[in-house]
Amino acid sequence: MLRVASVDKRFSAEGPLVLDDLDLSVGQGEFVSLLGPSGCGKTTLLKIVAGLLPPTAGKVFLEGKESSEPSRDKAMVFQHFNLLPWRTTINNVAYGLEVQGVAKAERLEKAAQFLQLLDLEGYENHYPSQISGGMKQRVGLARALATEPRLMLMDEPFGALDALTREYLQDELAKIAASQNLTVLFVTHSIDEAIYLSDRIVVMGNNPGRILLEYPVPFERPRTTTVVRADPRFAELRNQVWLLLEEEKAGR
Amino acid sequence: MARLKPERRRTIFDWTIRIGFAIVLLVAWELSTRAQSRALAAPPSEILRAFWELTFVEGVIFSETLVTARAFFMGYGAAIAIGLGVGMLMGRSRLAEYVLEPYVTLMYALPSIALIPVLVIWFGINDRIRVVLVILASVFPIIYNTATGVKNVDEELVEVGRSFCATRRKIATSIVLPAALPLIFAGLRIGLSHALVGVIGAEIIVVITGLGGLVIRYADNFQMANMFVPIIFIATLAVLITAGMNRFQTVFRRWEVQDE
Repeated sequence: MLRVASVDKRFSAEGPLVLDDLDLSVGQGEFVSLLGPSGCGKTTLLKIVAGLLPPTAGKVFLEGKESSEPSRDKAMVFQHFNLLPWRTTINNVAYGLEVQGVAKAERLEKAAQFLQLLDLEGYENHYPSQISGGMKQRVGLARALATEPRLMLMDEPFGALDALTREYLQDELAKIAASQNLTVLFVTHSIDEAIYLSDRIVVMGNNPGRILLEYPVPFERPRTTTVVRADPRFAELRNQVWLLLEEEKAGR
Repeated sequence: MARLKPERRRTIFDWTIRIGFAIVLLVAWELSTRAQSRALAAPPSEILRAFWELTFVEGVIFSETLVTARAFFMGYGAAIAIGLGVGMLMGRSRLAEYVLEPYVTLMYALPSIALIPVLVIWFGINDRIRVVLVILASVFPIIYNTATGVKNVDEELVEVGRSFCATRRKIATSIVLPAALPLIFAGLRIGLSHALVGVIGAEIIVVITGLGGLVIRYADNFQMANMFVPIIFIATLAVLITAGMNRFQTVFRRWEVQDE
């Protein structure tokens, strides 16, 4: 569904190589996590896929067609939520639809529907400054989901939340991803989070950013964090990934 | 963000002190000026009489207020249109900013009154000079603040628009402009006070019409009581316009009010 083919990235002509010959593919309905230490270029890769940054070399294909610009097929969820503070919750959720020219009545109806999906009923007319961080990111999720994209791109969406809220939202995302059959490319630096959520984990290394290894996650979806954590395979996989990252760090 | 502290309820004591202080001031003014020459000072009682006379008997003051207000709104309106346009351009284009920035900084710092002689040479002693001076006085703070506001818009918010494939125009109107609004309003407020100085300055120094014109004409004739009447009108006009601006601003910035 998504294919990233030999992508290189430098931020300036003489600058260091940030991404080195990266290949990646994501299948329809698959949930893939990009996991790596900070500075490994995972967010850069996500922004290249989103079309927000141009690659220095290589191409991005979405369903066989080149996709180097932002498009309606893709929607992004941001680490710092990036809600528009002057818009109420419902108008934030409707923003993507508004940009795409959906009529007002229709986009508000759809926004209300997605607010409901994310348990935000009753907060339609609140401004972002009036709701908690966890609720803000639910609005961010609803905003991306409301445009019904074929590919969801999520940039450490729970990284700025406290541990409890984070876990709660992970379960919620797992549920929605399964029920809506989402295709997701998810950036994280938490091994646990990657295991809870994904079908496959792509581990990246530093200097230059590149793919080290991929791990399939053996758990059936839908799943919850509690069930996954209790499974002995969780600890085993977690350990493997951890050792790989340690080895990579020691190697330089 | 913290909630605004609710205003403390005023007690009768507060009001008594406030009104008492005003009475003391007025009485002191009355007593100290009564014995003086009317050409040098006017007691409040005479100003009150002159106020009645000029406002409700002769009525000249209203037509002159209209003259001043009209010039003010024409000039300030034009300054807003130009200021927002140029400011947006400078905020979005590095080249435009680089080229224009020195002029904006220089003209922002220059007291507009200093330009009156050159305007007289170019336009003659003419009513247009007043509108031009209002524009020159107020356009630069508007440009400067709009440019700064637009330039400092959080790139992450712009990325939201881009990720949904918004056009440049849609990003400008739905993200950049609202995000820059707090600084734009700061520019509008500074521009407003500069514009008031500009219009009254031009009236007193050059065109000798409008409320400023009345002030200088009465002063030239040593009609001290009359002179204070247009000054009262100028102050009232300024207060009303500023209040209107604040009202306008709260409508636009409702989202900053913190309440559950």
